[in-house]
Amino acid sequence: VSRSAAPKLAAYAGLAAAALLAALVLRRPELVVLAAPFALALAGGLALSEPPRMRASLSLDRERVLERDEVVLTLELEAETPVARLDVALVVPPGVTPLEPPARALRLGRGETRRIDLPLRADRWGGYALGRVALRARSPLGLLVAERAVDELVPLRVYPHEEEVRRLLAPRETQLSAGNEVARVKGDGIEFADVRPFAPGDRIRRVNWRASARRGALWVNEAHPERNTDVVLFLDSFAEARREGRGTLDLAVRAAAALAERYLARRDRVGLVGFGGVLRWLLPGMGRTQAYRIADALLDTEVVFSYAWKDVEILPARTLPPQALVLALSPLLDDRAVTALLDLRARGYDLAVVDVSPLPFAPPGHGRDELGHRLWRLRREAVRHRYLRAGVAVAEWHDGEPLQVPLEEVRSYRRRASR
Amino acid sequence: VLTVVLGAAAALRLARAIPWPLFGVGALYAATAHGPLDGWSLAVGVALLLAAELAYAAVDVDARLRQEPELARRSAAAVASVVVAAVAAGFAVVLAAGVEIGAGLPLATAGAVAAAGLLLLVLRLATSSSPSS
Repeated sequence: VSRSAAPKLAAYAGLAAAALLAALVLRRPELVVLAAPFALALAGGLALSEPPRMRASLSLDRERVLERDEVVLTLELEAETPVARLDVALVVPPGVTPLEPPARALRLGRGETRRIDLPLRADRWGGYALGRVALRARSPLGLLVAERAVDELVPLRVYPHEEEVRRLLAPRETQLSAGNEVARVKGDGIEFADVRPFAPGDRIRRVNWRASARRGALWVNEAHPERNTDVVLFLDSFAEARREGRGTLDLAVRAAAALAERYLARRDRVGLVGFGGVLRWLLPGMGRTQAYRIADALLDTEVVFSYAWKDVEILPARTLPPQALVLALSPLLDDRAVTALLDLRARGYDLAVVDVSPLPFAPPGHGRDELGHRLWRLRREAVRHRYLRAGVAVAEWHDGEPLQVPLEEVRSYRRRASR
Repeated sequence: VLTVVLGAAAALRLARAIPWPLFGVGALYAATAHGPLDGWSLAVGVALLLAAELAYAAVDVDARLRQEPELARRSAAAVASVVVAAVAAGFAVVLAAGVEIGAGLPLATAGAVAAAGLLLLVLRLATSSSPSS
């Protein structure tokens, strides 16, 4: 606790001293009468003041919330000495909005415990450390001020609000484990594929009796097996376009969270590659645990400025399994990410790119700025054409559009390309 | 002019500017006081203290702070108590000043020592910022 004199104390002492000195010099007792009230206030205020002793503790009603959820931060104060006036200011980090004024002024009696509830709204995904509290206690008559900062940080994890996805992008190839994706190959399954002549070893239940009766020989049904797939979500975090608290990285993280949740619900294996200034990866996995791992990894995603050149060579081989669908979410702003994705395609990966459009976050200016903006848009078009020429489906996703729109665009391109 | 300066200091929340108009009023009063002991000095002293308390209270008002209603009531009660106590103290000083005692070197020395002590206290408090737990 740092305790200091308030300006009022120096002012009262100065006025009283000046009046007393003037009374002596001028030999006027009236000036002593002028000094008396200030001297009395000074003496009384100092006599009544004692160093404030109090305890402060912080708690949150929930440690994990979704974006736009509300949490209540509770500050509990316990005073061992009376505090005539206590100013409490809760410092809230950007991304979390207090729904009530975060600064309060109150009075605490000796031994009194007070609870201050501050409702907060989590506006943006991420990991936060709440709990910086500034306390300022004033003595009676406000002559002395004691200040203290409480740094008992309480963690809050805000998970991204998921985008709505109705239909997922199907990979070209499936894996060997059972899942919900109908494989292109024929085998044991429930999805009808074709009929063929009976062969030794075929099970009787597979016999198509109607076709057999018509052809005079035994024919059996063939089916497509239901298999799972490997999906790697490639999140480009080299750069982002940001404006008024919204940005391309926010959209990409929300989309990645939604896609991971939906693919994992289909029993697919999902991996994550955060490709940016800081490289992060999660090996493909399935189940609830993997969903939590991905959610936690997404919270730590941030744009870290870096000049270092990076390509896919630095990714561990197991991060990108063969026949996996690599679904990239990128604003296509950084050449390193653009080149890395083309490199993946050249290595034969099944690649689809959702171009998280930075255009809504970078409106055109006037004059030369407008010309520069047009050139930049043309350059982005050229990058997209490079992908299309390489056989990579790429769709632009604008802020405010459902994620399903670019996914359907990618799907239709892939369907046309496979014909 | 001094009232306007005090009002401006309170409105602009300049706590360090508040003593100067009060000092000016005191100086004006000292310059105009003549003759025997002026009975209005008590009213002037209490009025100066009340003006100072109200000005500092105005400086403490912050729209960003949500203040408990009880806090405002208690602050008003504290100001009222100080003013009442100041009236009593001033009255005691007026009465003491009216008492005829022989002036001399011991009394002047005591007055000088008291004034110098108060001045030292002012300097000590103005420069103190002691950390404590």
